[in-house]
Amino acid sequence: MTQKNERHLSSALRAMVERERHRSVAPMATDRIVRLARGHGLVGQERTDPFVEGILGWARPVVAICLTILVLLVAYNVRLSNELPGMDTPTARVLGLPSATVALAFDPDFEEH
Amino acid sequence: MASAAVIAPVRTAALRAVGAQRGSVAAERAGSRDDSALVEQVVRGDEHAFRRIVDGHIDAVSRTVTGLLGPSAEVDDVVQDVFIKLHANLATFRGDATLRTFVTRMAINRSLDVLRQRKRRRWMQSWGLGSELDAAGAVAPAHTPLEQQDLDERLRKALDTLPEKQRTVVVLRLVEGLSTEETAQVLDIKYGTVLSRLKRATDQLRAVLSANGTLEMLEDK
Repeated sequence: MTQKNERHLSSALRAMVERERHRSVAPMATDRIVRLARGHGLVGQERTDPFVEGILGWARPVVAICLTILVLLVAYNVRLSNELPGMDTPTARVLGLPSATVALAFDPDFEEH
Repeated sequence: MASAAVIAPVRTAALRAVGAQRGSVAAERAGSRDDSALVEQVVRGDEHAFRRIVDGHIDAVSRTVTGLLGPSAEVDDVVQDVFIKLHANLATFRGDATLRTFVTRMAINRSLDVLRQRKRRRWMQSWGLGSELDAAGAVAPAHTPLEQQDLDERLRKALDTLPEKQRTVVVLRLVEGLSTEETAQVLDIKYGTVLSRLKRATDQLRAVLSANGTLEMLEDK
C-alpha cells in the first residue's frame, strides 16, 4: 500500500471511529466516571499527611489502653464501694482511716482518734 | 545488489526510529514528571486531579475502545471500567512510561477481554446455550448521510476481518496516530513486530476494500 493510500485509509478510519464513538459514548462521560469513583469511595476524601498518620497510628493504641485501665479502675472502685458500709471509700480503706459519718463529723472527740 | 535494496529501507526506518526516540525522550521525561505529580495527588484522594486525568485521556481511550469493539453500548461501560481500574492501579504507576501509555494499555486489555466474551457468547449461541446475542450492544442509529453510513459499514467490516493483534496495531497507528515506537511500547512488542503487523493488516484491508470498490471511493474523496 502506498503512503498516499495509507493516508486516505487512515483519515477514513479515523473519521469512522470518531462517528462511532459519538454514537457509543453517552454525553458527560467524565462527570459520570468521577461520580462513579466517588461512589466507590476512591476520590473526594483527602488523605492526611503521612506524619500525622504516623502520630495517629501511635496514639490510637495508647488511647485504647488508657480507656481500658480507666474502665477497670472504675469497676474496681464500684465493687469496693459496694462492699464497704457507710461513707467508707476505697482510698480511706487503703489508708486505714476510720469510718466517717455525718454524726462523727459533729463529734468533738472525733479528732482524738 | 538485491540484498542492499532490501536492507536500505530497513536501515532508514531504524535510523528514523532512533531519531524519533531521541527527540521524544526529553518531552516524555517532562510528561512523566507531570504525570507523576498528578498521580500522587490522585492517590492522596484528590478528586480534581482525577478529573484532570479523565478529561485528558477520555477521548483517546474511547477512540481506542471504539476502534476495537465497533459501535456498541459496551464501549461506554468499558471506558468507565478502564478509568476506575486505572484509579485502582495508580499506586503501581512508577512513571517508567507515560500515563497515556499506561491507560491505553489498560483500554486495549479491557477491550480484548470484551472481544473474547463476545466470542464465547457467539459460541454458546451457536450451541443454543445463549440467547439474544449482543442485545446490550445496540446503539442509536447514525444521523449521517446514507453514503457516509455505507462507507462506515464497509470500513468497519474490513477492520473486523483483521485478527485482534493486527486490528490493535491499526487502531493505535492509523486511528489513534501513535508512532511505531509508541505503539511498540504500549503493546510491549518489538518495533519490527509493529511494522510487520501493520504491513499485513494494511495489505488485508486493501484486499477487502479493493474487492468491494471502497478503496476507489476513498481515493476519489
